[in-house]
Amino acid sequence: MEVMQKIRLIIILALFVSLQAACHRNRTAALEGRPVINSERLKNGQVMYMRYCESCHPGGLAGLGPGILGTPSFLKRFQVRHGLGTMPAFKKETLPKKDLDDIILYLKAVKKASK
Amino acid sequence: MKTLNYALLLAALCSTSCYSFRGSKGGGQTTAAATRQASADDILLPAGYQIEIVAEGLNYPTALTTDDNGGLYVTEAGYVYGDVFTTPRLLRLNNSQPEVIYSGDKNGPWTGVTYHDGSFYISEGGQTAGGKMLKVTRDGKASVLLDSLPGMGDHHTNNPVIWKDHLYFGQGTATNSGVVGPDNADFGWLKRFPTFHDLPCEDIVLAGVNFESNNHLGTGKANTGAYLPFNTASRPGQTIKGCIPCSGAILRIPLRGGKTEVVAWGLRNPYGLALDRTRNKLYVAENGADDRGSRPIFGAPDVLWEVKEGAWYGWPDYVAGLSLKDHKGFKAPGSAPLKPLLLKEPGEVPKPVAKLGVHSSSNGTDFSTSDQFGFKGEAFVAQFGDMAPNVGKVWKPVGFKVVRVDPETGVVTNFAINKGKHDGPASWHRARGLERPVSVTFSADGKSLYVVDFGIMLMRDGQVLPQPNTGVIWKISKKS
Ligand code: HEC
Repeated sequence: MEVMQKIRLIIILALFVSLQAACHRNRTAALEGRPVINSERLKNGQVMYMRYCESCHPGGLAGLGPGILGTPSFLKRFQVRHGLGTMPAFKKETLPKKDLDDIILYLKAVKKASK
Repeated sequence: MKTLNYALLLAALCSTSCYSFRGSKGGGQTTAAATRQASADDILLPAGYQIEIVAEGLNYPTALTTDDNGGLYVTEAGYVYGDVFTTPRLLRLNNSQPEVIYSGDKNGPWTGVTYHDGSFYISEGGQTAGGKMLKVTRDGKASVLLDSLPGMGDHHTNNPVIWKDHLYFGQGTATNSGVVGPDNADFGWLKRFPTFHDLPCEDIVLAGVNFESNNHLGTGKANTGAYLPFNTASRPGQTIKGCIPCSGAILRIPLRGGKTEVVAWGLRNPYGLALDRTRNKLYVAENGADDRGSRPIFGAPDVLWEVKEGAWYGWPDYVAGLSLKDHKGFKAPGSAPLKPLLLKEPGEVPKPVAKLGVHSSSNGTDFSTSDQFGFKGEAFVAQFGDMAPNVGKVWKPVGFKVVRVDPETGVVTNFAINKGKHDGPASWHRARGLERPVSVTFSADGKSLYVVDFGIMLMRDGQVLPQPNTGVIWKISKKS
């Protein structure tokens, strides 16, 4: 197998394993006003998440797609750029690196708030 | 060998976790008993808010309005998906039995009601005789303000809003994405109206894309083009004349009577029309396309739009402001790539105010007007919840709650949800909370939010099974 192909497969496996391990999250955080959006980067992350992700992963939880709060950040990035399975990919032209960084930061805050 | 091992492991994992191999797990796909016992105890709200039951046992309630004295009036649909017909009614809620103000004809669903200057204005969906706007006096005398609206298809004539001496309303499309097909036979209307199809508000030029399906009106195969009757093919460059009334539009008529005008078009099912009194603007919650029929679309969110006069919102060639031509991700798994149906785009498509859950069925909408209730200037949206698997597959139930949306940022936040690990209707949770919120209305003083909860609608073996007399009216207010 080509090296790239191997990396791809390993990532796919890691994604599925991370899905299996996704633990249940407390759904009350948003109702309680958490996470607190207290920086420009978090604010941008939240707005970008709403624009590009929320409709399929509402609040980071399962909807059309699976819950993603338990997925490690590097896998999140890979999934967003490559769109494995039925999820559409988001290339740099649509979602610049800075905005994806902020989405990841926002999701970390959501995860922390919902523990 | 190694490749094979990987592949086997992948297949094993996939069988439980990847989208393509999973079964759908929608909120109506439950084996729970179809009886209802509602209780506020199973609902979660932000701190400082409370919810109570105002009325129960209603038969498919859809909308609520208040009169000058704070009296509460509710419409019952009279038609429900699953092709179930009952009597549409306008009820006044009293402490004891609701009082029937007016019973309508077998032409539901009644989708909305608003009170203005001593009368009720009701949108009649039009499943058998076309959509209508009715005016009903307090003592139950009805007159027809407008009829012959194209509401016989998948989507209907939607809730009225009175603004600037006009009655504004949304008119849904006949089809999912422009083409009459097998899904419309399933809905039940194709046999009733074999030549019914979508109607553009202005002249359009077709690309000539046609879709083959089984012939549900005869034998063999059918070949159908956009904006044409079932089994009528289109030609490239063919012009379809615009007309009024049209489908997939916001329309208005002067309150004093007069011609119907187009406010905006190119929408799919503009269900939740709402006036934001803070900004003095109109908004609408639109139900996005489904993964069904001859031209299925994957991953189309519901959208909150600002209604801009004269704008074309892109249906059937755009989803949430994105063109299907440029965004390949909307192709449904296992179906052909999506081709534009129109040769020329009638206008520039606006950007959504907010995107809401795919298949959430984001319906009735209202804006908070008071600091006493809180979130002034935010939109509250009732999410009826998914009708999976008929609309497409979902990982988990979507919707079945009330969310609020900040129109400035597009941020969507839960407002009223059921307790439990996931979103889902009370029946799915085997609990007593929200089932299918279909609309929300603030009281005139802005201090309370009424939630109209349609009741139980199950999805079993491809069948839509609404359960009669399971509707509830909830009231949310600040704790004193
Ligand atoms: C059109 C719907 C849709 C949108 C929009 C979407 N996703 Fe997904 N996402 C999915 C689906 C469906 C899957 C499952 C893929 C499969 O198994 O085929 C998925 C999977 C994922 C996964 C992998 C989860 C795991 O652990 O395996 C991550 C991470 C993810 N999405 C993140 C995102 C982010 C971040 C965004 C926004 C930039 C986004 N998604 C936008 C539908 C969507």
